[in-house]
Amino acid sequence: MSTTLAAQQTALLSLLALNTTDLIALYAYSMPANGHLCFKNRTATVRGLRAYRANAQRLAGGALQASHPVLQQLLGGENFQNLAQDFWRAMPPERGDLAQWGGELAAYLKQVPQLEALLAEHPYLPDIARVEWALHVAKTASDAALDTQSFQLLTSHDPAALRLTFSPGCALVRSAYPVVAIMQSHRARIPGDHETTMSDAQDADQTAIANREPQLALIWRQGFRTTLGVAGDASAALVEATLQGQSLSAALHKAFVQAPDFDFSAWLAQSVQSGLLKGVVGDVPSDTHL
Amino acid sequence: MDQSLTRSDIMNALNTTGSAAQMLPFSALAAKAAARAGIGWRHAHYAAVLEQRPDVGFLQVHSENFFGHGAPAGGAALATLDAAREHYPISLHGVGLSLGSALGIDDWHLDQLASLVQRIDPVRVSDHASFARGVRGARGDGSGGQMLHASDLLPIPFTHESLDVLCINVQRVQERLKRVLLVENLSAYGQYAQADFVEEEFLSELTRRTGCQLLLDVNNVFVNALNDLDTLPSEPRDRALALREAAAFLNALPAQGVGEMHLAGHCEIEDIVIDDHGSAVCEAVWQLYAHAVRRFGNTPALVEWDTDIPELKVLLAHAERADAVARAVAEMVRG
Repeated sequence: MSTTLAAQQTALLSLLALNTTDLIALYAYSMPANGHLCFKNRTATVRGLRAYRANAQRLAGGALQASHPVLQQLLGGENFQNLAQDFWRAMPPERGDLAQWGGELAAYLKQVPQLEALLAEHPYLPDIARVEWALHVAKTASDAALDTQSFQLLTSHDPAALRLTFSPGCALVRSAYPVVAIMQSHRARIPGDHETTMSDAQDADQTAIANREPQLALIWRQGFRTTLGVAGDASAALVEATLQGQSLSAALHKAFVQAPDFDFSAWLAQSVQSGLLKGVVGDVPSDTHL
Repeated sequence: MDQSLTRSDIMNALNTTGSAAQMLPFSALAAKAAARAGIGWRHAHYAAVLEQRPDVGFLQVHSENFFGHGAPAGGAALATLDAAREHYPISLHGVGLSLGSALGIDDWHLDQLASLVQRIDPVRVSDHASFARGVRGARGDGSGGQMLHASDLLPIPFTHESLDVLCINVQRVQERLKRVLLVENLSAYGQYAQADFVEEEFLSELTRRTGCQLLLDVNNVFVNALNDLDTLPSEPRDRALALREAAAFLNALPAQGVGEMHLAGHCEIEDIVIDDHGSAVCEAVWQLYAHAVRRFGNTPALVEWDTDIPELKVLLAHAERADAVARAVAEMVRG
């Protein structure tokens, strides 16, 4: 570790975290502020730091809006911008690709005291953030092709030695609220959003919202299009167990616990057709069966 | 905003500062004559470029826009870049490596970049002489604090220690990518109290020690010169002086050390000049570019336009002008 350089860089990063009033006060009374930075005059000092900070604020709002367009719509533009600034200060990016920033937003929403009243009225907001993040992640997950040959393993191998493989970015979000229906009703109003495919059952969505139905949101990719749908209990159990690395026999066991009449053959055909299921792999280690 | 700068100002600036500098001989200029200008390829022009296939030297994209949550990354954006790669050389320009960071290079970032380089086989790979990765709010002994990446191109001090760190980080990237990296000079809105070098010495030493090349952002040099004028907000900026200072900066860089040049617009407001890449290249920067071509040869130039992105034809016109400037300089040298 280069200690002087690290201290210089910490000094600049810390200055950028100050609000304008504190920045001006710091430079008015203790120039140069921390022994590491100097500018030709105080006006330029504050102006230069404000330029960097304004860029960060612009980036914060833009990046979070790109990954959470429905949340932005639900909160309103100005509220969302303020949330983005606060989130940046509390949980700043750690990677040099801003598209990687935002996965902690759902947790952050629950931590902020000022949002307690809002969340009491709209408790589904953190789950909307989770679903939107899963969709965002799926967009750039590794590509995968359908491996039709691999399905022959289903007829030749013990299910305890097999595992299903899903499409890139496949994720399951369990929610106590009708998150898929809410996503559907708002996403349709976002101009130019052609990247996500969702069901066309608007009447069912309105019923789900009216009845406050809990929903299991399933996210996957069909080719390059991200997809959001509602999973049934058995299907969700099977997907969840598989995503945890469990074998086909263990995953099927979880599905049958939820629905003893679960039709695996029908599910298999439908999942291949929808692009959710990409293949089967063999030689699953025995410790992942349960 | 260039009305205060006359042609004679510019020619005087270039003649007085350029004549003392080492210029590339004509043979070297001719050897680089095949280099043609490219354009920054942003989302707004993805479809138009693939449909129209404009005749430009190369496309440049921000590397991070093609990173992903998978390892390796996938998705539609990468497939679009693959499609472009079939018709154009691609230059990968990073904004997030944080080459000057005392914390070193993020392994994840380097993995993503290496994967992208392997997939695209770009004509050049570049990033900035800056830092963004660090610890905020650490105690005096360096302990505690919050790790972050500031997502900006923050200046680094021009000290021996900083140069050592930059060289180590650049070498690490070059060894991983098995390529020469291009490192871009910043437009910086502040400077550190400590300095062992001036910026041009610092960058020259970087190229000497690592074998990397410079990505010379001509607009950044001029923006820095304007901001260094120490002009009061109420006073007009002495653009002729800024141009002379900028040309002198170029003259202090190694003549063989520049592998790509950037041209962009900037925004002048009352108390600061911001390198916002949101407007046309100004006449002073075109003149400085002509000087740079004379000094460094017809190095591939890039027209960068990242905010308020205009129609594609505007970018193409800029690229054509950059090529015309390079041809005119070559003719002038020949004559």
